[in-house]
Amino acid sequence: MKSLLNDLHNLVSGGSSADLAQAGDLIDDIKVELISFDSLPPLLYSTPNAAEERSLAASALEYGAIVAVMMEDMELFERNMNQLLPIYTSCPSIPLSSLKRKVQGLNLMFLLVENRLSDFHCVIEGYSPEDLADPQVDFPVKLERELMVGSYDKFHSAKAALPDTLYEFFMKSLLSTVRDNVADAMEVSYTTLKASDAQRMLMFDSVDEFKEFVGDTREDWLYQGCEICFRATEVNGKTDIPSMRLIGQTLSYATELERIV
Amino acid sequence: MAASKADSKKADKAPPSPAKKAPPPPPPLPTIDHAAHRLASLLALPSAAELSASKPGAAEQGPAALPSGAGRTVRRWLSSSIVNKCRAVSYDKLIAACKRLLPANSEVAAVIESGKVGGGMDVDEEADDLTSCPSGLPHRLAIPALEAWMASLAINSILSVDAAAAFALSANLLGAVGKSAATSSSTYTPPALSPLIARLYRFRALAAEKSGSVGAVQPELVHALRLSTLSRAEEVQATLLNLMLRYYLAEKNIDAAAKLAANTTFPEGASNNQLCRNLYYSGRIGALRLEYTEAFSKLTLCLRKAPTNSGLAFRVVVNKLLVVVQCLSGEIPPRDTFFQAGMIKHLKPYLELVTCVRRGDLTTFSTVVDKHSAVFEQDGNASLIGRLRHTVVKAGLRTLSLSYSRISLADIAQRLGLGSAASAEYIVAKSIRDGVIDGIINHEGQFLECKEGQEIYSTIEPSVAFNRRIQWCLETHNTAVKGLRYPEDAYADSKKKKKKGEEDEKTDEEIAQEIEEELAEEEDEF
Repeated sequence: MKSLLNDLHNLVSGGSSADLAQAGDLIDDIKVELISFDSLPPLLYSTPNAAEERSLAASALEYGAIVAVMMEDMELFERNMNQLLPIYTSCPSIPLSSLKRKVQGLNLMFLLVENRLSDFHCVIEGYSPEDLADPQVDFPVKLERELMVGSYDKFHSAKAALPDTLYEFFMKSLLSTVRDNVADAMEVSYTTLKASDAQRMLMFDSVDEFKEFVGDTREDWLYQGCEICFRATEVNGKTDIPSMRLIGQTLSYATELERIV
Repeated sequence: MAASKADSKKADKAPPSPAKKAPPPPPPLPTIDHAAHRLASLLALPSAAELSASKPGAAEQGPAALPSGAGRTVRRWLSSSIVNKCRAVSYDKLIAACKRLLPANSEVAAVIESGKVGGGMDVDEEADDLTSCPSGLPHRLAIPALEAWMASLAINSILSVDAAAAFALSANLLGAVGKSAATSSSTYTPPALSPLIARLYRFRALAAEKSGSVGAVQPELVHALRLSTLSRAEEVQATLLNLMLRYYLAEKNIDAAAKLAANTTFPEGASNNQLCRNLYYSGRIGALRLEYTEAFSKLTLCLRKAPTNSGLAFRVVVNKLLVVVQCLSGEIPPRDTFFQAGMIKHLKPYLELVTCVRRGDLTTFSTVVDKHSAVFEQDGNASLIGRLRHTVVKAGLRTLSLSYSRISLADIAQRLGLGSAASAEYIVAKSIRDGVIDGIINHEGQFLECKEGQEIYSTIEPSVAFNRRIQWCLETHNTAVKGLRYPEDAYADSKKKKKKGEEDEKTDEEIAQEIEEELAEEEDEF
């Protein structure tokens, strides 16, 4: 088992794609081995070498999560995390591994990308102050706060200050979500905007990329010279009275009142 | 020394009991005996009738055969003043009482005796007590309940002295009580025992918490929950659920708590106190999971159901959480929340916080949070309050947009402490999209042009608010109707008063008609 882990460590630090594929296979083998450990959740038997088994399993799954990020496979990452997190919560006594904080931070990034904000907050709630003080964990927490308020420009500066290269994968996916949000906000808050400004606000590096984005997702934006006009398609009619809903409400009041009387 | 303490206690207790109840026999019974005999008489009376009624049904564990009355009787008895007085009884007296009240072969009594921690027993006093007890053993049917009650008293009295000992003792006692209940032949045992066993579990969990072995009890609680759910012991079920929720929340394992709450139904027959606790816990889970509306309704319901003359600390805690949840969902809690009797001091940090949120002042908000961070941390609301930043910015933006028809982005950034104009531009854009403010940004001029506030009565908004309030009223009415309890002989009285009742009904009808007319008028407006 230990030798397997050593191999794994070497493969992960090697980092080439062939190595990664091999590491993935290796992790699968290790997981099969893990099944025989009764000291892991949900059984949690206190077998003689429980402590060792648990920390072995934790570090194997930590590698698994990191390999998944390197392979850019979100589903695999989630699966690994689902196996790993119960070990963290139910065996708090295992020694802190070097990868724990990184994996915790990556998990937060993952939840942010998936827009599972309630899970995100639940996870943060479970972290100790020491966990939260770590830059790897602190990064996604701060990021979420900025995004909630809407300071999207902070996102740009955050990209420059990644705590680890592994975060890049999630940042890339997050960028498209952020772009969508900004574009939605732009539509309603500007009448017209210079194309160059819009491109800057949407964090595109080149005009072509920007044009492609607009062409793909924002078909109703109109170009007028070098300006973009957002309000062209908006309909200025009064909203209808939702008669069916009002009728339903009134009827329900009537039945309730009847019951009372 | 223990004896003298017990003596003084006895002296303390002796006067009020005859004063309170004039009829009881002239030689003052020890309080425990008094309470025990009261329970026995309470249980023996209805149980005879219920026994004969349920016997043809034969199905002892079937849901229909379980008389819920016994459970309620015991619960009422537990909250009576005599029982409350018994809490202060010393351990020695308790052992003496066990000898008097429980049969000689009772296992529970043996366990209680074995759990004694230090201190000699005064034999003379015991003998004295024995002679002053005229009625001997209470009714056979009440024995298991009495055993359980004695057990809970035993744990309670050790708990303050030695939590670890209480924890160890509680395990043995629970086993003994369970065995005794299983061997007892009476069919009514489970419902009558339910509140008492629930109490035992509560003390056990408390002892575990105090002695730092909470994790160890957890599997046991899960097992007990399964058993109690199967036997429909609702009080036990409710207590166990709350204990587990409490544990998960204390462990900050919100995910597990949420899943537990989502996958179980809180029993309807549980006592009001347990229901309040459950509402608070689920309110907290909701708040942590960003479900603020749900949390808000749970917490307001909890406050409404909580006892008004006791449990101040509980209400303070609920109020604190409620204030934060209200702020998070964008409302400002009413000012009188902070000036309720006995809460002013505790809610002061929250009042300061809300004032900042209302003003939308980000810098003072940060100072207030820093200043009271210890309090917030202790209340477990720190992370929730961290999320309030967002609300503060929104509130600030709204006041700005109301007071200016045009304001530069740099000014907004400066007023709200946002760092840079670029940042402000993004934030303003997002707020416009979220519907917080209404306006247009001019990028070239770097300013925000605010639109005049739309006339709200031209929108659907009033009807939505109206609907929400009516729904709330109707729901409150329905729960009130469900919660009505009638005294046993009410039917006879109502027959006599029927004439009068008819008149009442008529007026009710008139009122209803008036309301309906009003409703129709209001509907016409839309």
